[in-house]
Amino acid sequence: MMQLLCVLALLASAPENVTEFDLDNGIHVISRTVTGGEVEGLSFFLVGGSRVLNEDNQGIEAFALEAALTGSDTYPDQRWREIMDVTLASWNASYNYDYSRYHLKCLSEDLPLLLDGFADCLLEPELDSVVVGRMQDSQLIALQSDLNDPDKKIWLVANRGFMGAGHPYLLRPDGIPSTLSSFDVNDARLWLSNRIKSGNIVITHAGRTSPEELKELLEVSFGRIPEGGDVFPEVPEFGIERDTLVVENDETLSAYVVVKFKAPPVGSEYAAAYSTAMGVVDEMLWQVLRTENALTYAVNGGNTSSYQRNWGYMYISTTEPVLSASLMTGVFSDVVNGNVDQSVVTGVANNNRTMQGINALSMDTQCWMLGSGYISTGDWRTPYLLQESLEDMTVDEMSDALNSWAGVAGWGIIADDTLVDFNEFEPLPLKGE
Amino acid sequence: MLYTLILMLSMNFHVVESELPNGLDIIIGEDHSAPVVTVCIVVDTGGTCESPESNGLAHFYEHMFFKGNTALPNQTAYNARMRELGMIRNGTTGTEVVRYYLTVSSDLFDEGLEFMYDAITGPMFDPEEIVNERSVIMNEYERKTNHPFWNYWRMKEEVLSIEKYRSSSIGVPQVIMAADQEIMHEFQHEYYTPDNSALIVTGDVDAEAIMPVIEEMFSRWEFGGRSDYFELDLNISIPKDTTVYVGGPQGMGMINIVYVGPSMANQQEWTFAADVWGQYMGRMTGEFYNNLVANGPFLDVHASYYSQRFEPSITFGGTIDPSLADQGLEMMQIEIQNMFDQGYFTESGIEMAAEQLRRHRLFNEESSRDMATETFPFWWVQGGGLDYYNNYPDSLMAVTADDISLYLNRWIKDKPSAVFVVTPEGEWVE
Repeated sequence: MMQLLCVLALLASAPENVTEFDLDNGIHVISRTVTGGEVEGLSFFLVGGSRVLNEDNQGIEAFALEAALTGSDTYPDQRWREIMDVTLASWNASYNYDYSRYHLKCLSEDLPLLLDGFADCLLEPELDSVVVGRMQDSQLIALQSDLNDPDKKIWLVANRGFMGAGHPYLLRPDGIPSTLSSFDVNDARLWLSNRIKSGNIVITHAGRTSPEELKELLEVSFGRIPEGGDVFPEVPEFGIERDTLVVENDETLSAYVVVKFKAPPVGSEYAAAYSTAMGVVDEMLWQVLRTENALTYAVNGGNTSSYQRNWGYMYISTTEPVLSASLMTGVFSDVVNGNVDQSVVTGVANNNRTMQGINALSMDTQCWMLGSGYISTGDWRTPYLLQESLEDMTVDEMSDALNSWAGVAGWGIIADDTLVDFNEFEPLPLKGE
Repeated sequence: MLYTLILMLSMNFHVVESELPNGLDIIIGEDHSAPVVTVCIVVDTGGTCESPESNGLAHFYEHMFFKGNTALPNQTAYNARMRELGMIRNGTTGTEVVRYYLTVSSDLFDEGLEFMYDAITGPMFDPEEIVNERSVIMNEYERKTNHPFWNYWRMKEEVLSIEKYRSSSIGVPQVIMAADQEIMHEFQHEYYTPDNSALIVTGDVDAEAIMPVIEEMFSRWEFGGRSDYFELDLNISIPKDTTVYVGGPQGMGMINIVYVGPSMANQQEWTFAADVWGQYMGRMTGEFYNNLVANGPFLDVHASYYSQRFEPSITFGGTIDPSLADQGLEMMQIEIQNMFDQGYFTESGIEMAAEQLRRHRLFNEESSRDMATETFPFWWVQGGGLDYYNNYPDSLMAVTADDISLYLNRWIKDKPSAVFVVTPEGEWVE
């Protein structure tokens, strides 16, 4: 039975015209009606992420979903490619610690056909070993390319000290070369049959198709997905107990430094203040390390806000990592101690308001916000309502949040030992203690 | 009336164009779907305007744009004003274009516009800030050298460019480290003039209401008439068949076969067939894909024309297991010859390609901010104004199989090519 729940935008920052409903098999759908354009966005979230992986099958879900999307029994490889040619639709896949996300971008007129094909690929995948093998080689190349890029690799280096041995977020949702290369079509088939269950799935949509039309389309496509789902274990706290440092020697002209530290869950009373604090850290890092000291082209700070467990971070690429790390902790310490002008705090809220407006222009971003908010807190409005809390944020609230949550630090550094003396590095305490 | 309004109905939103008496082109696109507005200044300059002695200055200038100006005396004041306005901003320097853009809440449009005006017309180029920025840009340069494809990018400049410094926007360390206030002002004097620029505004604004505000403010910007941008020569040449092997990332092979393409400066009549041809070749059900990917050694392939004024190129490329690179190269070269067979290009396939390009345009118009920062700047520079973009769909629909045949015969048949084979083992050898 169709149960449409029209959600009123109780607060100004939450968008209007958002409707939530469940398919008959229980799949939860959140749709934002956006009129005016012809572009539709639809995101398929498969909840689980690293929690359903182990050391030997890291990347299996990324492999299985990409393999499935090469064709189905009804839409075999050649036919499916024809549809892609005609519609010029695009798929954008991303795999993170809490869920896999497949996003479809298409014109409104093509949505029915593409939804039918999409669901069919998940339920009745063709899994031609030659086609899947080609896809697998492409995945491996992309993975290898990322591992060759120190700017991307540095984030994983920092994880090693921060997350602690055995933490599920150490398992790579997109795999590692040794696991990714070991999968075959049978692994994909088994994985899909176990994971494609209504209770594991959330669908979000942004576009001009009405909720009623969308529900009709989804019932005949995704409504075929069997009921059931996984029970996910709680994500443990990060294991870091003291300041740590992981150093990797690499032939680079610039060094890369990342430090990670704990952040509150999205629904926490501290979430908005912590996010503001990291926005202020970001501003001050730019001011001190780039404007005043010219140590870098790229420096930033921030926090994750869509995972079961979040973290704050600071990043820099520089030829002077030791001095930079010291200045970074100085900035952090200033923010923790409230040595910041209120105008900087207000500026973070102002910037966020503009970003909300920019985000509203993209169907892709809207789908991501609706889904990640719902998955991490049970309420799609959470990312939108952040702005309400930011408006009147004070320096004291902000520094209190940072002080309460950010303790020990997990540092990661990639540098060339011919340019930098590794003996000079040490895991600096964040608050300058 | 100091300006002319040309009303044009874009596919998704209302666009107004005009030109101020000082030569500044104005493009306004109304989109009321979110309460933000984006302001972009696009300038006809970039790496292609440089000499060996100034290689990197266009990019250096872009950095200085975000420093002090006559209204905001230093970067600290500049940053504080951005926070006050909640401004999200950026700038980019390419070989043929430089863009600066900012987004603010639409109720702050006037303030955002004024911010842009002050930055574009009154940069201070404070010597101390220039010295600081040298280090910042050097770090940007060093980061680029870490990229897995740095060798490939460098080799392309080496092989394809007549004057290689014109292809490198980031520049060279000795110029970056020597940049000073006088050089910056010279660059500003030559290129940063209204007759060499366009102002683009998209978002939650009323075009008719803001036009007088823009006119009042930007008419003060003095006409220049000094830019040599439109007199610059073509900067791509492939005098003979050339093959180079370049080192790339582990586990990956890549092949690119490059030909000189028609210039957007004075050969636009060829470019519509070029784009339809590229789209045709990109079909995943076409012969090119089927022979090289579905039934061949490649993991993916592409064939495309890059619309450029000074370095227009036609590229056939693909990703491949590095151990199969030589075999792949041979197969791709055979496939290029197959294009000249009778019946390779069908009218129905050409219609589909033109339809795909129409859809591509709709997808591009999803975000009015992207229109202000990507689509309009690109086509304004390449087309020498927006007429090319406005007439683009009709021009594509008129392309026939004969047009494509003529295009291939003119630009590819028996023409020399440059082949780049990128493998982990590749070296810098010709």
